[in-house]
Amino acid sequence: MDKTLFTLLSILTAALVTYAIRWIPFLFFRKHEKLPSEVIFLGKFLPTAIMVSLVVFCLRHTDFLGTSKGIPEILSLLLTVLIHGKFRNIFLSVISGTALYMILVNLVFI
Amino acid sequence: MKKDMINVRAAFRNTLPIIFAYLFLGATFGLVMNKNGYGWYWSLLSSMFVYSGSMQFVQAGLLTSGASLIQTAIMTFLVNSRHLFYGLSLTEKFSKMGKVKPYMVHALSDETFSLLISPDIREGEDEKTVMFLTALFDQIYWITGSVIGGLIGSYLPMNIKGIDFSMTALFTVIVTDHVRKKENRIPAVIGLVSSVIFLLILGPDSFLLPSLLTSLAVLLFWKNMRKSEDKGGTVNG
Repeated sequence: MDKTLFTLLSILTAALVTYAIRWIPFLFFRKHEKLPSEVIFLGKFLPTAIMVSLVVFCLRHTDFLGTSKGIPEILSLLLTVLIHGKFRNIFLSVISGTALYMILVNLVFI
Repeated sequence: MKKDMINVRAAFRNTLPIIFAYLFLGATFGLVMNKNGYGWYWSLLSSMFVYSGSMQFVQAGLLTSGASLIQTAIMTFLVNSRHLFYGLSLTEKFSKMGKVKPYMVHALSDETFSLLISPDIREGEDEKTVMFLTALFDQIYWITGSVIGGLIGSYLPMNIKGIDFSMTALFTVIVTDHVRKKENRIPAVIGLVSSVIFLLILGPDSFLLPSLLTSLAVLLFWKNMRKSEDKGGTVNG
């Protein structure tokens, strides 16, 4: 098969599967006029559990037992949380934590 | 017009935390595709229609290694299965989105999801519009980054090590805001224990989906426990 056509089909495949996955939860509850109490409950509390899992997901390859001991990550996240506690500004908190992390992994923990 | 500008500014304010990350990460994607022999138009297509950071990077590898369409489909499902849970969390919010709902569903990247679960809406701002623009702006940053990376190729220092930590920081900030409310602390602990246990048992590449399923099950169990307590009965009774 011609490379261009195949690449196009590959991207389309990934796009369709991704879109389908994102749609499935919404399709399940289309017929309900009122959403089941479980879904409303999950809508309230599942996001927090997901966000925590995503943090763990981001840190999944961190070398906690190895050379860096996860120190760049721990220090940077600590700074992020402290700055956020003080200024309550998402942009500022994210930038400070990221800046510290980049300094640490590029200049200190090489 | 003035009303529109209020909502545009609100969306900009909401998406500010991820602008640079999306521009740089998107550019990194464009760069990787470029190095693998796929020009900026492929990155553009991918970022428009797949719009899933991790999957797009994986696909760059799949395309190079000549993976079949079936392999691509399976990988996509595995990498993006967590998105099943995003819809579950947003069913109520999205039911009010009307005509743009199909786009909102498409736009459910990790970061957009995290911004949409608790958007910063202030007085005079229209929640529906701001949510839509937030999702749209996010994707625009991502597409822009990808195209720039694809065009410029090796001329820019795109390998800025550590910039993707901004995602970790963003998710952490959001967790911090959530757990300020007492009611979210048990869900947070459930998520944490579940993901750490499964991470240790199954390893970094396989833990997320089982962990999310377990969190969901435990949350529903917790719901039933609370219901029994409210009714004055004991769990064992």
